[in-house]
Amino acid sequence: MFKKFDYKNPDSLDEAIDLLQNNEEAEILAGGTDLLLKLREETTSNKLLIDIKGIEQLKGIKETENYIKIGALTTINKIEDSNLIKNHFTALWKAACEFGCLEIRNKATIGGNVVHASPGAESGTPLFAVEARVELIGPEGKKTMPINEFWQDVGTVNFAEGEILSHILIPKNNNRISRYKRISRVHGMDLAVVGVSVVVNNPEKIEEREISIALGAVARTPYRNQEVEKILSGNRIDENSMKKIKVKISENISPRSSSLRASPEYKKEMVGNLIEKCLQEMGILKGEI
Amino acid sequence: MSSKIEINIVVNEKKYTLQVPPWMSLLEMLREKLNLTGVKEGCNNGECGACTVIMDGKPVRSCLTLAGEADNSKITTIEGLEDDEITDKIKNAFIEEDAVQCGFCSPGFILAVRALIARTEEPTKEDIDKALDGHLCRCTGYESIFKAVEKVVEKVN
Repeated sequence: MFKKFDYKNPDSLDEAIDLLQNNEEAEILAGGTDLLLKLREETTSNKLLIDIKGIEQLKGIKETENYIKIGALTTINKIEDSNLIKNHFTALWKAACEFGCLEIRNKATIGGNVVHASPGAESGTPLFAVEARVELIGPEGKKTMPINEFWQDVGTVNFAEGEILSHILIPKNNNRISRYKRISRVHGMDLAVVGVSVVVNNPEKIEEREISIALGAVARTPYRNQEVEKILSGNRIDENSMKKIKVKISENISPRSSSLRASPEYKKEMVGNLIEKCLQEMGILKGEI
Repeated sequence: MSSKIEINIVVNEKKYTLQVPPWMSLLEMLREKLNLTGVKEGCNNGECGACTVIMDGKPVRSCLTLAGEADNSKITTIEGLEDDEITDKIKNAFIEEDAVQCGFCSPGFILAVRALIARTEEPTKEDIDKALDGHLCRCTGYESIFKAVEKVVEKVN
């Protein structure tokens, strides 16, 4: 049994924003797979849950001139089923495939996954690596900001009062390939021990190549390292540079030792291996390693 | 704070209008209001799959769903598949392969398999894996369950 709370399910965005603004203890309920877990742990609660699942305009995946626009209420299984995402943003598609289990993917939403801002959140590394933006709608209207300005800390995102996450914006680029890989303790439903996304713009010509990498579950938020990205971008990547990158990465991260899933040493070693595997799979790193 | 909300719901093809507290889970509503005790409370945390029901054609965790979220939806529990031929085949395969010991996880597994067969004509091994990887069984060690599912998938096709 949950502690008591109130429940409303507005079918317009205006109504939802109004409820959110006028109730101090209000929380937005999307898929519920994170929020309801959290509420179950609470000892007191007099909250108002605003279930926004009826707001159709926040669902679905669309293409605009510059972005692939994913509604915050789009469920993870819809991302898994989307050929547009599979072809244009493989890392996010793969992260969706690895997310929780089928019953969770059927309800969990990408917006909920972002807003809960868990360090190992499946959607975190692809969105950081591709430099996605978020669109927020509030009493003052609409605004967008880069994902790394929105996603601030464990469980903390940058909302102004009364704001709702409405869309995730993926910059379009027809000359981009990407991968996501993770390690988990068991084959089946589990959270990631570590997760890695690698995004490569202009993969064919070495000198035009731009590579970005984001790591999950090694820091409080998805982590990028510009130094490493610089070594990778515009340069031939071989056995030696890969070795250098692995050392650099492990020197620069300090995963917490209290993790239930793996020791810091293990995580440090594994992220390098996952980056290497991603690069190999995309044909960026050739030959025997 | 409202102490009751009204839910209009179709459960196992029967229409209900129910008054429930807003903080009631779908799991609690099905078990306590409708006496459908085939829906099991295992971990109550979304991890074990024992509380799985089919909501508008898709398997979901009823412990991580509020009764309010299920307003205007169609729910199928294991009780609703009593006269379903395919479910009979699944149950028989589970019996033949000894895929049941204590039976607590079985309704969740069987519903997940039923939903898989409904959405995928010829499920592969990988499809079966994906459909069941959120279900825990502490008795069988899974081998017999997977054998049973493979058998029934062959039969249905």
